[in-house]
Amino acid sequence: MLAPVLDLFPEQEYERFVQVPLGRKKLDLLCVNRTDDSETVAVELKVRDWRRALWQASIDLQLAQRAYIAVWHEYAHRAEKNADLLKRYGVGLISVAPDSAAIVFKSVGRPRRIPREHKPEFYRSLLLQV
Amino acid sequence: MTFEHYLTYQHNVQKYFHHHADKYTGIVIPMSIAVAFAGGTYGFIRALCSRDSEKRYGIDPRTPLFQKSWDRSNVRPPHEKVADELGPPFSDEGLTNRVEPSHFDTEEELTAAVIRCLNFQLQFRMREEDERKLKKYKKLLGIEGEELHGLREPQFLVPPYFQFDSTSDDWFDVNRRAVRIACLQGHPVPIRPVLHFRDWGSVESWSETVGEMKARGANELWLYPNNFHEHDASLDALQSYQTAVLESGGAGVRVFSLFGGYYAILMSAYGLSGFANGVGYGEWRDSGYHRGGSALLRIYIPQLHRYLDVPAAENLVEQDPEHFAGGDDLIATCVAEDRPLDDPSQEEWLDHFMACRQAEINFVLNEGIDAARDQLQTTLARLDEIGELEREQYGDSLERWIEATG
Repeated sequence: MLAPVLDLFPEQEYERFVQVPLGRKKLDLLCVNRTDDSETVAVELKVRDWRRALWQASIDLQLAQRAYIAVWHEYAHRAEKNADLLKRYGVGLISVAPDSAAIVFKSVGRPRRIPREHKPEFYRSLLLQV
Repeated sequence: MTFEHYLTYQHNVQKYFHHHADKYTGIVIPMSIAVAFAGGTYGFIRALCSRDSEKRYGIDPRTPLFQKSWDRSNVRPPHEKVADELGPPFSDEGLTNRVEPSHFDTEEELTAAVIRCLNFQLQFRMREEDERKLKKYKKLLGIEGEELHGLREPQFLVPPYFQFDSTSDDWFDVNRRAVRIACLQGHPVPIRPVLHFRDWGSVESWSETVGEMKARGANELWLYPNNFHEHDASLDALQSYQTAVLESGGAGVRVFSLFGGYYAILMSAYGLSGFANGVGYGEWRDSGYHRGGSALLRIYIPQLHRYLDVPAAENLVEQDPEHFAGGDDLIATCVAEDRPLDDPSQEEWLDHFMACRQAEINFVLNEGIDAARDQLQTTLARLDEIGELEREQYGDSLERWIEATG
């Protein structure tokens, strides 16, 4: 599932980190914009368990400005039916097919999130672990 | 009403036993630590008990490890030493294969194992003194100039025990016989067996099972459901826990939970006499776990009565700091000072846990179960306000606790 999602965040534009440790879990994909490092995007990949991915993505917003769940295209409609819930958490949806991935709706980030710049040490140490 | 809070001993958290001596009543020492680090464990426990004459200790032989399947190609030295102390079948069979009930078929075999196990616990206090270690621990405990008292006998003795699936299985029979043999030894120290069962459905009639233990001479018991996670437990399991406590009390037996968290504290309202946990871990345990090491750092959230990792804790606290950072503690200080939750040291978080645990115990004992339920309801309402995912992740267990104790 990873390759088509990576195409959405091309290497020319983003530094891409896979399996980034975040607490006791690992964030599936973290993309940092090369020209504007305040633009960070987290993606949680799950074939069908979109709700679990959503929970993890909501935590990822501690680290990233935006967060997505990427769900296999045959099951993405289930997450889409719950678009309101995803949007309430500021999480976007990506539908993943064998050769491509598409953003169904965008992440807007979490309204009450502590800005990343308040936690520079936390952010730096996480990146150092990659 | 007395409610005893035990801490499970680990070397790497010794200083918390010292700094928070007012927050627990006794110490449970895993036998693997008592044998593998004998001098250090003895020195520390003796110095601690000498400084505080109220502190008591006991040793958990953790014998179920030898009945479980695990990779025995690389047995850790502490387990080899335990097996050596316990003798056959632990030393000849248990390190290469699972110990089976048939290894205790004869009374002689089981009696020998029980006697060796109890003797180890009784003789722990009579170790040869290692003056260098004693000096070290006297210094740690701030009693350098004082003469140490001899270590008293343990508060209780634990016969070898094994996990059973039901009271009709062969392991239960071995446990029952081990308790009888232990009680027949006539030691002045109370026998406090561990009833170690697969799950709360393993015992059909608690009054009968506990009554049987009492008839054999055990007036107190540890309850140990294997790998029992209070937060994941079904309503049925939680209610069975309560039934076990109530029926044990009815049978005149004091019961304690060998591993527990806040739900164990709630069970004090139904007659649970105490429980044990580790410093920053140890609210449940799989008796087949054979690897060592420390638990990862997590932050104890007192309103949820659970640990969260840093990102999850940050996520929760920033959404409702008024409730989840409320109170005069480390989380509140972090919020007030705009200090990230990963900034405090592991030591600070473990101190925080110790303070939270004591506050939980005091609250339930002083305010009662109704107030505890009200407090849980308040937290549920706050989670509802935050969002349905938080309610689902953290609230479901609290809701089951409320229902189970209602």
